[in-house]
Amino acid sequence: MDFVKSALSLILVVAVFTGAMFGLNFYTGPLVEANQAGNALAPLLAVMPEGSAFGADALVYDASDAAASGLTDVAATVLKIYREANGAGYAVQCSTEGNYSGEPMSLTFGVDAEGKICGIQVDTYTDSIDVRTKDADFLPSFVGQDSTLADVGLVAGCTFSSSSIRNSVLAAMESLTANGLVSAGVKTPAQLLTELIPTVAPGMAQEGNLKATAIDASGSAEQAFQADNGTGFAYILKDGDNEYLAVVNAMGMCALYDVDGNAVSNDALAREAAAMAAGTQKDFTSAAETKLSRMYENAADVTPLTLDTFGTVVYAASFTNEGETYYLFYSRSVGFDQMDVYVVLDANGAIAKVDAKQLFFETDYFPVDDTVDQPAYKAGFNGMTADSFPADAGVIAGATMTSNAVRLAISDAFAAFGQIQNGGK
Amino acid sequence: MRKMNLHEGIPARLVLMGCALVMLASADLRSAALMSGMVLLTTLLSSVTLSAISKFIPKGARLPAGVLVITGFVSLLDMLAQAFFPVSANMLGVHLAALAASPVLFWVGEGAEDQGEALAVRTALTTALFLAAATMVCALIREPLGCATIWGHPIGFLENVKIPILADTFGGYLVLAVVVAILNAVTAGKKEAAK
Amino acid sequence: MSANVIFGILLAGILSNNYALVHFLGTGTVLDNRRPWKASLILGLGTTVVMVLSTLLTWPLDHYLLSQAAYLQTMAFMIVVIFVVALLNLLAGKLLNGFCKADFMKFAINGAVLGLCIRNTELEFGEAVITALGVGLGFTLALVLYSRLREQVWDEDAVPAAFRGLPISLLTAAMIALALLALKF
Repeated sequence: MDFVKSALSLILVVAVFTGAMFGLNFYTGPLVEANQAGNALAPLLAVMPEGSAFGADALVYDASDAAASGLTDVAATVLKIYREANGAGYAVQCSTEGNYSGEPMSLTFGVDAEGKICGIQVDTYTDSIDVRTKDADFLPSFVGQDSTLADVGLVAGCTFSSSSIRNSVLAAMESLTANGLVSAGVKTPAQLLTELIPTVAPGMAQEGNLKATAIDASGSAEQAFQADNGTGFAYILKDGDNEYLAVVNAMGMCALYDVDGNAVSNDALAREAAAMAAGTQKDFTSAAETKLSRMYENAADVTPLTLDTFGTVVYAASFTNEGETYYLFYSRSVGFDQMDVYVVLDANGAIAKVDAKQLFFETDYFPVDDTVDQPAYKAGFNGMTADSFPADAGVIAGATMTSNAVRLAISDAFAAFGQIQNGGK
Repeated sequence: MRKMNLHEGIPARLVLMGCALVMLASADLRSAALMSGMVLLTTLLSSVTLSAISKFIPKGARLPAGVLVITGFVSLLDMLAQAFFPVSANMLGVHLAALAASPVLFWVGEGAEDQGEALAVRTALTTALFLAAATMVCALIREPLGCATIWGHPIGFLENVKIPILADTFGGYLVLAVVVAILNAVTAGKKEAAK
Repeated sequence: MSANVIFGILLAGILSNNYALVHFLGTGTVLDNRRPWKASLILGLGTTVVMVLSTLLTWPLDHYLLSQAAYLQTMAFMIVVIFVVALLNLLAGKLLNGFCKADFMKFAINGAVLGLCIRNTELEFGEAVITALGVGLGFTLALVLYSRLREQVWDEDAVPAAFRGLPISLLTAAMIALALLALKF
């Protein structure tokens, strides 16, 4: 009897408390769930020093279900956008494109209510050289920037990685401003002109990213850049209240552009830019002519040409060989490393010869060096013209960067030849 | 009322049983406050309940009944803590739920079974307030000196002189040992004076 | 699970993951223990059995029955622990209560057992059981250690008056905890 009484009393105690907990759960359950969801997002506060919490409804955009968010024109690199619970801003998780390693990196950054970046961290880093150790000030330089990222530069020696990160943040910021989540920053004329350089002088860029080093500016120039591959210079020039971009190629030719990207004519500024470049521009004549003499033993009447092209061609010359006229184009395209590619076109614009100082670098990483017949590879281009140049000509699996650089050199040579034919200088 | 003898000296047995509570909760003032509140409410509610129902429970079932009543109140209060004080509740983690097996609560509950409701309330209050005071005093030492914060807010001038180990397990034992030793010394002096 | 992993979990439970000395679970029970070391050893091993049996029952209970009612976890686990302790008390009461001069029911229902059951729900079943064994052995080690310290080492006259009793126990535990933290792996 005592046992039964004991059991019943214990069951009653358990039942009463279970019922109480069941009832209380209706009230506290949703609150606990919201708190747990917020806890899961608490790491986002690392990039939002002024933020305090992310609620259960913080997720504004999820790339895996983009349609549900209602946002439009969100960059493909944006993975998730979270809204901070108390109006402190947004935290954005995004990935990068165009990395050195080919594997995307992931990063998270915070944007405050005024549209300025308040924190940034790289969550996964996949490139071989860590940009964060290469330049400890690179990531901090994002803090305080608006959607223009005006003061965020690239890191020498980690240009791919740093530009990937920068482009990813830029694209994400543009997505935020496009959808009215944050206010857009106003780009300065100098910034607009700097962003114009890869478009008007593609030889100074690689895959759309400027590959140049800032150098000392003088005279009318507020900023000056020297292409890392020696293809030329870019100057941001101030003339009264206006600012212009002057690009000077390796052959000394100058082109001027205004903030809107329109070509303008200003002889004084053009002469000034050309003069500044001439004092520093490396002369490729000797190297080119030496190479020519090795490619064509009987080359004669070598006449350097001055062309108005702003690709990777740094030297052009016409010459004769056994009574036939040919054109040599020396290109400084960039593959895995800096390359020197020599393209010879005949009078009809067909490839007569292609050569390079060194095709493959880092042979430990690229065993293709042993499997690719280099002379045959180079000879494979012979006879191709600008019109008949196939989209996959010269592509080497496992050495994409190299083959792309060779293809770029050939394309730029065709473009330069086209200018000669059209009466260019 | 369970003999406290607070004016004669620290009720050593009480602190011994409750030392784990004090040490684990005193790393931060927020967790100390929550734990103190939990202990106070649990002891009060369970004492009153056990005092009221003990006459209906057979002797053989009193221990498990006492344990289950305490566990029930701890679970209910844990749910409320997770909902309304999530930061502090997260700091305490599993220790909030493990409060259900605390020897202090068993000791108070066991006493309450033999006392009337009023006496049970007084005992529970005294015990809980004493432990709360001990917890808060230790937290007032450990958090600023160990983490350079007060209630989670950074204190700039302490950042360079903080002793992180005070916020860890070692600090819990050390600070409580020193606090109890100081109180022992003070009350020993009062005892001498009383003699 | 390889032998290395099992050994690692056991060693962690005994040393760096010692619940009583490092995690403040069951600390009061350990510090309050004034029994001879043999009695402490038996009580500790009894508590180890309770921990392992409780884990064997609470882990599947949590994963298969309580997934929709997490708020019932503490109550359900406590019922299981009471059941296991009562069972062991029934089977080995003479040894545990008689020889050890302890109320095993009150002794074994402590924060270490309940805390272990709750934490083990985050592990795989096999890991949980091995952890329970390791933690139980660590609890036993703490009990025996304190028992021997009381018997052999603590000379009341050598300790300043203000530090006698609880403060010196706490300081000893502090030193042990510091040493165990250094073994964290």
